[in-house]
Order: sequence, then C-alpha cells, then structure tokens
Amino acid sequence: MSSGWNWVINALYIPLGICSLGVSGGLVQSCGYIIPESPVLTLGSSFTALCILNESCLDFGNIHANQIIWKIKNSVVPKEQYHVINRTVSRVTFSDTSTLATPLTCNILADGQIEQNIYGIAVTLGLPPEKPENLTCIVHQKSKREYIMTCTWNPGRHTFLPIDFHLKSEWALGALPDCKPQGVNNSCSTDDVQFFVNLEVWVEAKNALGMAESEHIDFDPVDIVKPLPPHKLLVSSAEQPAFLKLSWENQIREVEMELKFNIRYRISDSSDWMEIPPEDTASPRTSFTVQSLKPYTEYVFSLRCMKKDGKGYWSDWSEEKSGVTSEAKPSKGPPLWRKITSHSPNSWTVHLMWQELNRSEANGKILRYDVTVKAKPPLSRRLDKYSVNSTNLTLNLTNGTYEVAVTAHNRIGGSPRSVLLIPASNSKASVKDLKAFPKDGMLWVEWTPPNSNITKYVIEWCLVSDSSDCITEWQQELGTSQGAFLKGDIKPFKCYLITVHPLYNNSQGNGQSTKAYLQQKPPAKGPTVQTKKVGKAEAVLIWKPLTVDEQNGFIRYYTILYKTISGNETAVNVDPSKTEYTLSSLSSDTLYMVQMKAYNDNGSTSGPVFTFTTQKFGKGEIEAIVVPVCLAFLLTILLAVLFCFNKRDLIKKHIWPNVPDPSKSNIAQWSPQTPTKHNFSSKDQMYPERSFTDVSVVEIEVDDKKSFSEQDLKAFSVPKKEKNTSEGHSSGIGGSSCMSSPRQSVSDSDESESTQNTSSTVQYSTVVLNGYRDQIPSAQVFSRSESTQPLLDAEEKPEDNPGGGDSATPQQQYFKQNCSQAESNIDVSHFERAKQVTSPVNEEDLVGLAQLQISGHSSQLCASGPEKNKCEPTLAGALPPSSEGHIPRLETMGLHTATVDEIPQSYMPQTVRQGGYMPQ
Amino acid sequence: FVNFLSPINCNNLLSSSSPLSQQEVAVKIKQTHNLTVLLKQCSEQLLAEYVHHQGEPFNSPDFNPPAMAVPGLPSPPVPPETWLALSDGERLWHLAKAYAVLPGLLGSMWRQQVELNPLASELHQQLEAAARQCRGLAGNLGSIMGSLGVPRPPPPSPVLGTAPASTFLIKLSGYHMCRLHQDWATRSHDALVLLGTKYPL
Repeated sequence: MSSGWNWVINALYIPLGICSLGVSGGLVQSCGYIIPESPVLTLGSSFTALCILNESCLDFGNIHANQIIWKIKNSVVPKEQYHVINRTVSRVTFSDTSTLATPLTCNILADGQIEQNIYGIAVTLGLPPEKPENLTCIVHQKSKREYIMTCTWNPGRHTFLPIDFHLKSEWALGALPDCKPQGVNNSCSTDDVQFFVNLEVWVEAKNALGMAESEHIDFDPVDIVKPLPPHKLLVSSAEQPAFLKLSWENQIREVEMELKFNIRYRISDSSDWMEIPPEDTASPRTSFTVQSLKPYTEYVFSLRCMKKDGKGYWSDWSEEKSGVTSEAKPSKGPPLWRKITSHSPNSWTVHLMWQELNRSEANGKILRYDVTVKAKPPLSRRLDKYSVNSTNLTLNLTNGTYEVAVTAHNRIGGSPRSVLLIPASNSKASVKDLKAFPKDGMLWVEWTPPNSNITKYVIEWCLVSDSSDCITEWQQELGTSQGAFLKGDIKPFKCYLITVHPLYNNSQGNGQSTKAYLQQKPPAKGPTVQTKKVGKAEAVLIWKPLTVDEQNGFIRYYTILYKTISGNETAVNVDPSKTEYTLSSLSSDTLYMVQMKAYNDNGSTSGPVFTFTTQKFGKGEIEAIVVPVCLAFLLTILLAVLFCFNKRDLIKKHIWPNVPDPSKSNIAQWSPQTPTKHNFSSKDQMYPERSFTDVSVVEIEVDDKKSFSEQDLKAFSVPKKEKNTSEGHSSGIGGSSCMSSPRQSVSDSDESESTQNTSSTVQYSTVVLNGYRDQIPSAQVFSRSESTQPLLDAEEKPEDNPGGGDSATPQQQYFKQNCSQAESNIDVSHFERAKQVTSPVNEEDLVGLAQLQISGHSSQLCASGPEKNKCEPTLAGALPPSSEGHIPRLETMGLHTATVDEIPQSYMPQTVRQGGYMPQ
Repeated sequence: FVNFLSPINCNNLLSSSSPLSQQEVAVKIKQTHNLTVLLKQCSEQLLAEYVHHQGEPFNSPDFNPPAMAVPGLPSPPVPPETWLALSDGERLWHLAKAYAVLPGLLGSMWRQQVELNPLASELHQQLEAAARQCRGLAGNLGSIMGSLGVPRPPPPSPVLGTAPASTFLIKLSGYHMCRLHQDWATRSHDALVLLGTKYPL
C-alpha cells in the first residue's frame, strides 16, 4: 500500500514570485499569492485554495481574476473547479486531494495570451496517526540493581508524514519524563524503573495531521519483571547415593522480589530433561536437594526463576552444571548365556558369556564377576567358584545338568545373581511362528510362546556371509515378551540368522531359527547361465546359485529369458532352489540368447547373456543313418568275400595262374656237384654281365611253395647247375629281361614287370646311368634292390631259351650287373676268360646294358672290389630268414666271392667299359 | 530524573487520589509496605555508602555525632518507641509531611555529592534511587491517605536554609540527612506493617 502512495509529495516548492508585469526599479515584486501556503492535507479530503492578485499589479495591465489559470504541475486544472470571487481573487476547489500534486500554481493569461506564473505552493499529503495498539511493557533485569523497562506497541498504519511517538508515564504524583524511541517507532526503553509504585503508561503518536493516544495501562513495574537467572550454581553429592544438592545465588534482591524456581535435570548423555515438581520449588531459596536419582550417574542441572506470585516472566535458564551421584550396588545381574561345543560323547566345552551391565544397572564401576557352577544330580561335582574380570568363562564339563550363576561386583557390593540352567538336553517346547522383519528401521523378531512357563528368552543372531564366520551376538528378553528389536549394529542388505531359545525354570527349549534382512536391495549380480547340453529342440541350462553376499535379499525366483536373434523373448520363472533347467520346444539349428534374472523382494539383477545354437540333428538321428549304411557296407563286403572264396579257383586261374617253379622241377635234382662249381663261377661272371629289373616268382606247383625265398639260393645254385648240365632247361629270365628292357624303356621295364610279376614277391632292381648326358664315364654302379622277394626263374624260361639258355641267368637275377659287358663282347670274353665261365648270350649282354642304364640309383655295393665284402652281407640280409637251408650256401657263396680276387679287378674294367658304352 | 527531585505538588497528590475499594486499599498498603522494606534496606546501604566516600572522620567505625536537625526536613515527632503509639492517621500524616520534602533534599544532596565525589557512581546511583523511592512512597502514601480519608499535611514551605559554608559542613549535613532518611524509612516501614495488619489482603 505504501508504494501506492509514492506520489505523495513532500518536496518543498519554492513559490514563484515572478511578476514580469511589474518590474520597476529593478525589484521583482510578486503579483499575487495563494492561500493557504504549503498546506498538509489528509488524503481523500477536499481542498480549496485562493489565488489573490496584488492590487499593485492590476494597475500595470488590464488583468482580472477570471484570467487566472490553476495548474497542477504542468496540467491545467479544469475551469469547472474555478470560482472567481472578485476581480482579484480566484478560488479553486478539489473534492479529493488524491488528485493533487506539487506544485499547485496560479497563473494568469496576460496580453497576447501569454501565460504568466503568479504563485505556487507545495502540497503535502498524508494521513493522521492511528491509535497505537497492543501496548505491553516488560522490565528486564540488567544487573543486581539495574532494570530496563521496555514497552512495545503496534504503531498502526503508515501516515506518509513525519510522526513522533512518545511513551508517556505518570505516577500518582505526576508525569514522568517521556520516553522517545530511538530509531524505531514501536518500542521504547527506559531505566527509570521504580518498583512498588504504580505507573500509568501510554503511547502518544503525533504528526502534522493529528495526534493519537493508545490505551493507558497501569501497573507496578515489579509485576512485569523478567529477572536474571540464578547464577553460581553448584552441584554437590549428598549423603544419600541417590541425592544431589544444588545451591545457587539469586541475582535479584529479596526486598525487591521473592522468587519461585524451576529446576530441570537430565542424565548427561541424554537430551531429555526432567523437572522437579514446581510446587517443590515455589518458595524463595538458594538451594535444593534433588532426590530419586540413579546411582553413579552424571546429571546435568539448570534452573530459572520468576516472581513468586507468578506475575512477570520466567528468567532464562541458568547455565548448566553437572554432578555425579555416588555408587550403589549393581541393581541386577548381568544377562547370561552359553555356547556349548561337544568334542567327545560325554564332555562339553561350555563357553559362558555375559553382558556388561549398562550404567544404570551397574551403579558404579564393575570390578569383577563371581561365577558359580553347580552340578545337578546325578552328577556329584562340587560347587565351583570362579572370579573373573572378563565377561566370559570357558569350562570343560561332563555332560549333565548345571546351574550357573554370575554376580557383578562394584566398590559398594554385588548384584543379584543371574542364573542360567544348562540342562543335559533341551527337553521343552520351542517357540512357534518365529518371524523376523524390519520395523521402525530396526530388525524386529516376534514369536508365539509355547506356554506360559518361560522365564526368559535368549535371542541369538549372526550375520551370514561367505567371507566370514557367523559371529553370534545375543540378547536376553523377558519371559513375558513375544517380540523384541535386535539390539545391535544390524547392517542393511545382509542376511541375519536369528535363533530364539526359550528358557524354562528347570529346562530349555530348542532354538528356532529364521533369516531376515533389515533392508533389501536388488541382487549384486545375476546368475551366470550356460548350457550343459544342447540338443535339437531342447537345451539344458545350468547356473551357479548366487552367494549369500550377492543376494542382498531373499531370492524369490529366477527368471530365464531366452530368445532367438529375431524372435520374441520368452521368460520362464524358476524356483531359486534349482540350478538346472531344460528349455524345450526350441527350433533346431538356431542361435539362442539366454539370460537369467534373480529376483529378491526389492528388485532384480540380470546376469550375462549366453548364446548357444541348437543342433541340426537330434540325438540318434545320425546313428540311425550311419549304422544301417555301415551294416549294408559290411554285408556287401562279406558277400564279396564269400563270392571270392567260392570262386577262388576260377579267380586264381584268371588272375593268378599257377606258374611252375623251376627250382622245384625234377631237373634241379640232378648232379648236385657240378652245378655248385658252375654256380660260383657263373655267379661271379654274372655280376658284371647282368642285372634284373623285374623278377616275378610264381608258384608252379604245391611242392614249390615250400619256400619262395629259397629261390634266392636256387637262383644261385640250381639254375647254374641247370645251365651247366642242361642248357635247354636253364632259366632265361635274366636274358629275357635284358632283351626286353632296352626295347621297352630306359627307365624301367614295366612291361616285363607286368608280364612277369604274378606274385607280390617281385624284386625290383633299377640301374641308373649317371653320366648319360655329359658322357662322364663315372664309375658304373650296380644297384641291387633290397627287396627280399624271391626271384622267379622259371617264368623266364621261354624267353631264356631263345636267348641262349645260359645257365648264368639265374644268378643275374640276384646281382644287378652292368650290362655293358654284354655290349662289348670283348669285355665279356675277358670275364669269361678270367672266370672261366661260359660267356652269356649276346642277348643277355643287351639286357645288361639296359639294366645298367636303369639302375643308376641302386646300391653300389658290388660295384668295387673293396665294397664287395659289404655286398655279401647285404645279400645275406636280403635272404628271407625262413630259408635256413640256404644260409650255408650263402656263406659258401660269400666265401667264394671273397676268395676270388679277380672279381674286383673284373669289375673295375666294367666301369671303364661303361664309359665306352656312352658314345653308343 | 529531575522530576523525582522536584518538590511535590500537593495539588497533584490530592487530584490523583481517588477512592479505592477495601481490597484495593489493602493491595496498596501491601505494595507500600514492600516499598518501605526496600526503602529501609536502601537507606541503610546509602548511609554506609555515604560515610565510605566522605573520608575521615565519617568513615571511622565509632563516628557517631549527636543527632542534628536538617533544615527543611521535619524531625520525627516522637521517639521511635512511641512512634507506633500514634494513630494510623497521625503516622501517615507525619510520613506524608516528611516524604513531601525528602526527595528534594536527597536531590540536593545528590548534586552536592556529584561535586564532592564525582567518581562515587554507586553513591550517586543510590542517592538517585533513594530520591525516586521517596517520591514513589510519597505518592503511595497520598493514595492510601486519600482512600482512608486521612487529612493531608499542608504543602511544604520553600526551604530557606542557607547552604553550608564548608565542605565538612556539607558532608555533615549529608550525614544527618542519611540518618534521618534511614529513620524515616524505618518509621514508614513500621507504620505500614502495622497498617497492613489492619488491612489484610
């Protein structure tokens, strides 16, 4: 509202004493004036002003009051508000002063319509003061003899004008000096305070528009005093343990005022004040003894005072002082409990434990605990007494019923006994319907008592965690209680195992347990799921249950969420006790994503996503295909084998015809002496002469089957005998190969092999000519196959015969020889001469040449004289061990080779001749 | 403050007195009694404080000059033993007469002590308070007398006494003033106690 009145003008407008018309003698003279001068007007009232022209000015020009124009600031006041009283006076009337502003000017229109200002006034607008209300006074004590009386009032509305408030006071004898507020308008303080003399007080408010006076109040200042609080408070112990004596000084003289008091006190570590009954402290005093306090307790006191008859005000509370009551006997025994561990069938370790008495029960400093253990019949153990400083005691006892009692002692005396019965067995009923849940920010345990004979309950609890053991805490409750808050540092999000044991007069009941959380939050993590087995349409999921520390609450269920890449998610709820679940009705050969959520009462947490792909074929499908196929295959094989077996003669005839074995022929039995001789000679001779590419041995008749390997030796001996004895029968295989191989190919005689090899016992021998291109007559090397396959002599017969039917050919089957000798008959003749062996047929020479060319890679065992010795053992090694009968013959052969010195010499020229061959 | 020390206008006393009920008279008597208790104690303290600040011989324990009249202050009409033998009206009359001038005299004394002992602020305060208390008591007595219909004493005549010539005489005059103040305080207390018994609350 006050802002709305801002237009109110307090500025002083300097009247314009201008008279341009009447300037004479250099003096400026006013031509008129306004009545009233600088009025202070009440807002909303009416106002009339007169402008009076000076007579002297009238003479200067032809001016008249009807030429007067009134203006507020620069705006002309409407003519309707004017009234010309006579030639010199114009009156203007405002029905509402709210429209007024400073300056209000009187102007005149002189000749030529020139507006001349005559006079102006400042207008001040405001309101008269309101009657001050709610005048109240209070006397504050400042010191023992100093008082200040302060009166306050409601000054009323703002008047927009300077206003003076005066606090008036008057005695019976007359007025007292006024009190003038300093800097405020609603209170005033004076130190002229006289008690026991009535004072009449009122407030006067005065401004330019008026004066207002509050109601008068009449009082004796002593009745409105707020005294200083008592000081120098002392607390001292009294004779009685439960008493404390307070003493203090009052700061107000008793001749001025009698006091009453309030005394409040509290236990030092509490914030709840207690108060001495006011009627006990209603009389003047400087001391008081507080009773019914707890022993050995620190109390804090403070007090306040006021006039005894209740007139005036309470003082502030005094400063606080504390005192400690003296000690007394402990008021109750310590709560007692036990933990029993049994390590042998008839003995216990009993851990007795008791709790420290709280301050209010200990009534002093506990110095020791006395423990008595009394065995009950049938045990006959005497009474044991212990005195301990700690709050536990471990005893080894034999099984039985014991009565344990503990008393706490302080300097004054001992507490009542705390008795705990340790029965041989817990025979009484347990509590029922045990529940534990958070309540009022704590963990509340409640139960239904089994009956009414319970003396007390012991509640044990411990924090269940993976990382630490269950450290048991406990508390005792009255036998009448059916619930209790756990008095301990119960942490949120932790699982507590709570056990309630009912204690009876002469027995105990078994403890009942439950688990509870003070507060739950979503699990720390979700279960990590994975597949145990994946099939075509189902998958077996397994997961590890969350540990207690991860659960953060009671896991109510798990949810398995699974979906394909594009498909909808499917959720399955699973009981938390399960650790495995089978997803069924899955699509085959599909990628699935599966995830598990663990839900507790407060929310859920998801585990990681696991992906798996279902199989294309179901279990047994592959087997169903593969097994019949295999069986069919086996059957086919079997049939084929049976067929072959049945037709083996026919097959043999076609594929594996019987080939007569020359060694088994009757001819080989002839003249065993000479052939041997010939054999050696021919063999020696054949070394240089022949080599074989392929040799096949074919069973000729059942008799010959005795040993294929024997052919080796037979090749040495028998054919040579044959050669010597009967050239017509000698095997011509070596010759045939020598004949055929050059014709067929240089590298190998496959054809001859195909024609001759009818059994697996084919012996290959390959001779490679090293210096074919560069014509280097390097040492010609005979390579002999290490194959152990016997040579086939007889098969070559048909070919040998045309070749000359040389008896030396069988030997050539064994020793691959440089055929170059065949190429140059001269060399052959040399050999023949040296060895006295009949020279091979020309054709054989040719074969030998071919063989020489082929068998470059073959071993050079027999190529040089010194190596000859090696040749024989190798040869011997090549002999099948089954041919025992041949070994002696082999030795004799080796003996022969060793004894014949010419043989190396005969070899050497071969290499030379070889070089001679190359140009060919 | 000057008001407390100015002579009491008896017209005020008369005009401000209005008839009070029996209960109101009892309350007023009780209140005045409380004031006399305070006054009595204060007057004793004032005497002690005064002699403390005046030096020898005033502060010696055995300083006990014979009683002397203070110019302008009515001396007790009767010895203390017979004070209570007077009628209530007489006692009130005498009290009213004495307390009509006491504030002015105490005011003079305050001015003298401000000059003589400018640092004795406690004494100044007590003198100031004593003058105020006497003025208040005069007002209360006037109310009681008006209610009880006790005739009032004539207004005090202006004090014509000449100012003491020497400082010692000023101090001695002050000493007697304090003694008389204490005496009148005791008498007023006794009178009010007696009056209070007659007008119990």
